[in-house]
Amino acid sequence: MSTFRENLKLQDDRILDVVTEPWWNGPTVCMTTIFPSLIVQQQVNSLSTRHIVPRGPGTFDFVWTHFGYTDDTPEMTRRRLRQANLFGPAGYVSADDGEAIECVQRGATVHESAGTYSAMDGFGVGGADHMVTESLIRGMYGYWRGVMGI
Amino acid sequence: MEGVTSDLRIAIADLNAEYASCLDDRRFDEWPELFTDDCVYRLQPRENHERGLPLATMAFESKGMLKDRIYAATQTLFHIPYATRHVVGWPRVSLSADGHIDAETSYVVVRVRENELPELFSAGRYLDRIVAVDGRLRYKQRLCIFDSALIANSIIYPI
Repeated sequence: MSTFRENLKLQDDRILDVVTEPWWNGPTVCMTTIFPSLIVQQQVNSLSTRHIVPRGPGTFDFVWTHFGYTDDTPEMTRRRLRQANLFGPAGYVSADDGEAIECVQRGATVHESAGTYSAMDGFGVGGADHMVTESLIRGMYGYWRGVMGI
Repeated sequence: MEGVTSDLRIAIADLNAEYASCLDDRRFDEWPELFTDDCVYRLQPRENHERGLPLATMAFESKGMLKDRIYAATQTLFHIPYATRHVVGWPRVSLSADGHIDAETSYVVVRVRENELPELFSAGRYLDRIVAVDGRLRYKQRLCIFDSALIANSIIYPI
């Protein structure tokens, strides 16, 4: 990866004050995608949902909801709120997701009579033991077309 | 407003102009220096602010966190490049019962992407607590409360 920098250091690292919670049972990140439009996620102590709400062809609202538990201590609530800086429209790990998707959308719709095909890692749909693949997008749209009768 | 002099009002307007200028001119290293070391900066939708809900789009608690944001915005966050134009209103200034300087100032930010029309990117108001440090005014707390919870995709730079 050409842009990996090894020695980055935060000036104020309270934003990454991560504390293991008992219910994790190990994993620090869990992303569950529920067809067609919902992601429920845990990333360390930050818990949230992301919901795609279509407005029409080419446009959708992307709704972030963050949550905690009623028995969270004030310190845990503050921790969750600090880590929320990683996510959302301005998030350290999320803001560029949105920008990259907008770039892909622009590229995919550049000519109104042409189609676009995402062919990273081939043309099939299936599992992989790596992440350099658009198999999941192909699978999602293939299933969506079936459900929509297109 | 009792106790608020013209000089103070003008000094606050100057501080706000400096703030807008350093962001629009991309002198980003100057942005954190307009705050105190133990500052608070929050960028938050109005609906959360008015309901007393704590989640914010950006929430920083020190000058160090402001510097970390600038580093990310200029060095690591992938984005379609854009310029901004902050248009800032005249500050409404008041002194709290315990002598703090509070100010409320409307703002609009226009975003300009290359070869595209300028677009209205954010509108809202700043709610500030301002202190004097070594004879210069600085933000101890700046809450940037934007009126619509809907954002045009991503916010990379502070507002």
